[in-house]
Amino acid sequence: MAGSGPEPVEILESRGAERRFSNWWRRQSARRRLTLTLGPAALLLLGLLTAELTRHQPPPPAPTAWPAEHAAVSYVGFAGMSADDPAGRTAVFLVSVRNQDAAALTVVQVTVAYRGLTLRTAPRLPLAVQPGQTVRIQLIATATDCSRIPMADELPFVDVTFRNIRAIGQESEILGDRYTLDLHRAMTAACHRG
Amino acid sequence: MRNRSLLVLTAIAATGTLTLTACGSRASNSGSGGSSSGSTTVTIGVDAPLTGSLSALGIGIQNSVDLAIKTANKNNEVPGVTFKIEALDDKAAPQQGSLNATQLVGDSSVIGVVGPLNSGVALTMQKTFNNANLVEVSPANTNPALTQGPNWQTGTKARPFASYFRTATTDAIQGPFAAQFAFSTLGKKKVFLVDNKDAYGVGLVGTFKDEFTKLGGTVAGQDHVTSGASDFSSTVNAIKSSGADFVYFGGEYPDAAPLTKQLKAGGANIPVIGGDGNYDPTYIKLAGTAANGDFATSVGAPVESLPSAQTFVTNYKAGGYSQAYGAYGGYSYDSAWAIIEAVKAVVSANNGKLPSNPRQAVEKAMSNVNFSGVTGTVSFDQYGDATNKQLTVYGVKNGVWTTIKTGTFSG
Repeated sequence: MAGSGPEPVEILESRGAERRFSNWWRRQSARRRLTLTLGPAALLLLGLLTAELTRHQPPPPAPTAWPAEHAAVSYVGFAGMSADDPAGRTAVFLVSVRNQDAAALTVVQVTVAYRGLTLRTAPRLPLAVQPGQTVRIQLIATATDCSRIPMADELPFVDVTFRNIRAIGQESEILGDRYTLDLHRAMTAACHRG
Repeated sequence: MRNRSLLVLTAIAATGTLTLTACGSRASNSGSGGSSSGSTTVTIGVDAPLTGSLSALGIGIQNSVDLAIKTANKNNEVPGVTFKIEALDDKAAPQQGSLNATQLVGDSSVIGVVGPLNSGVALTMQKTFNNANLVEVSPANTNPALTQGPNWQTGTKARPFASYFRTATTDAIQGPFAAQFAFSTLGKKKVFLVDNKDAYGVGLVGTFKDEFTKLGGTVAGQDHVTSGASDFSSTVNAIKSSGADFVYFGGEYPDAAPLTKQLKAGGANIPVIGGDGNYDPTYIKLAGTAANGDFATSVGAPVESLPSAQTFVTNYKAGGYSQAYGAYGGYSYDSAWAIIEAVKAVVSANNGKLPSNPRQAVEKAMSNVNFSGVTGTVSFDQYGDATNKQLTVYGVKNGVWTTIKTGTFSG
């Protein structure tokens, strides 16, 4: 059953259309026939040319990196208890920040997550770091509430906010075992524990 | 009439020629996968869950490796060598992973393997690969014991298998980082711990718990769920009666999503925090609005934010892959590329030819691999762990994972 009914109708209609087109084509002037032939060809050529040109367009310039992605923060070491704090509750840690980007970078802020600890820096922030430059920053941490300073955690970090021409963003810098040990020792001393 | 016919024929011929030329140039570009002029063909195997509830992650791994291979072949990255892919489905099952490892080892053309997704699966594959000196690079395994041995937590680190490497960072960082985030950033003090009893889930909860209690947090309760279960009511009741102010979950999204859904439906409007196993759009799809306010950590920085990843993202989209590259796409590409770099070094050291039995040489070369990849600089330490250790906290806001903060380990 399939195909036995509609097939002849389709063929007849197709032949009719072919005949009608042929008659209509012969009635057209020579110039019109040329236009009708070359018009679609020209349009197709234009389309292909556009596609080719678009395909070979140079890629857009690489965006300036998100600031934190090209800033390398490293722990340098413990610089001792601060002589400026006679109560002995302030410790100084040294970190370095290297700008690995081709654009200038600014260290906007450094904070510490412990709620019993306040942090300031020397030099004061914001601090500009030029491409390829490494700067050292003192983290000056003062114990303000010893009950809120953990003494045995393994992964303390500082949050550093960076800015470049594209964005401002924060990254947690996990400074590693040496920093953890130095921090715990310093805070033990600051809080007269041990 | 003849002239007119000639004109028409010329126009048609010109159009046809142009069309064929255009088709030809498209084909030569898109056919980058196998167009290398290399004479030796080697296989990079993939082992990942390609079916089942974790397939969204597994297919992202497979596609990203496929893209790396196509790129290497297109660029003739290792002259004289053409790479091809062989992807096996481990169904997230350790037994299947073990069978796949045997199959991949048995295929002499396999020069390295990317995978698996699950740490529990990796545990059953490592020895088989190691006996054959077949390099395995996981983009997703986070259990520290895989590289540092079973006693890593007591400070006795010993690499169990020289052939095993990973580009993802470990739960030795992921768990504590999540604990610091929950305790210090969110101000949460009482946790209810839940794991799915597998190596990854138990390990992750362990590292989280250790750091959270050291910070001063308390564990209000702990429970274990069976992976694949649908009714978590007893766990939900235990959480509610514990008075915990959040839940930490060790496992994957197929279990975490119904848990958070049933938890919120039960009236406990507290966040669920999980690891990289939770970080997938499917988590939100399964949990619906109950996912809002939940958090997950995942390996690496968000790929979209990395300048080094822009080409990968563009090429992945252009590659026409129907599934997203997912949480481990960038790491999978880098895992495959690490193998390609090792092969390149071996070929270079052997007068431009691949040795007849190259597996051992490739394993040796992996230790010196160092290149700028999708996720940053890719190299491995003495344990086979990635030297680039980054993590990101994501939160669900209005039904979408959004980046909260990224952490970088520089110690």
